[in-house]
Amino acid sequence: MAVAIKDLGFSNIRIYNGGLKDWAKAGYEIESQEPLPEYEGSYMEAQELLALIRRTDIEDCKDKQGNPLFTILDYRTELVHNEGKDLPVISTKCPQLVMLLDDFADPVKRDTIPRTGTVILVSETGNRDPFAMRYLHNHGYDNIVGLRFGMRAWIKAGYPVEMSR
Amino acid sequence: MKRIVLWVMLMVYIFPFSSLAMERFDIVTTEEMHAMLKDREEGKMDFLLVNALDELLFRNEAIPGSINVPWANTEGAVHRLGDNKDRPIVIYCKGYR
Repeated sequence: MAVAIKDLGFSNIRIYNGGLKDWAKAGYEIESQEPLPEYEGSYMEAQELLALIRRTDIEDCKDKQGNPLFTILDYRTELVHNEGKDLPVISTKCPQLVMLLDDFADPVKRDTIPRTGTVILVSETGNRDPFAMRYLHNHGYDNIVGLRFGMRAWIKAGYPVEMSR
Repeated sequence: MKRIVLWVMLMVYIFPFSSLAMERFDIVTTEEMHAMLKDREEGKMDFLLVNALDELLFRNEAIPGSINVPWANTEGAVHRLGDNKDRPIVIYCKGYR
């Protein structure tokens, strides 16, 4: 981010590395313009997702009505910025949606997220999943789970990936 | 010795290219941040505090006095930084490490 701003010509940039986490820990004020409602989302371990993929890929990821058994919602910022060309994505026959977190606020884009079948959130590290789940639950989604520790855990475990196109 | 010479040559040739070199920025601590905001409030200094998180996250929680320039949409939001490119900027995000 700082590099992107510097590349745009801004010369006097510093970084508050501790961010919101350390700010809150120090007891300083946090402001909230639109607080997300509390919601305790659920998570899936990378190993569980691998088992699910192995099971569902055999059935071409479709239930008896032809609906996807699950959908991956990959909202990694870097994936969108790279136009999906160079980064590894989870290898599965199940559908995958790619969008930014802020796209969830766009009703047209949000409506592409299925309301049936499990939707598995994939982010860089899973840090944003609680907020994504709180936001989507507030918009009536009760089928969202987060991939614990995100794509980092998937890659670290050496599970199958393919290059996105 | 040969290895050291090669390493030095590599540094000399690669580091002038910013895209290949490791960018370094000065770090602000929590206490410095707090003091800077207080000084800004009292008119003793001027800087922009930039929250680089997605807008949905920024609206949920932010340090008072921040503006939002999401990393996901830097080009679309860069106008919020204004035209003065020398104005000091402090960037923060979630802070998970």
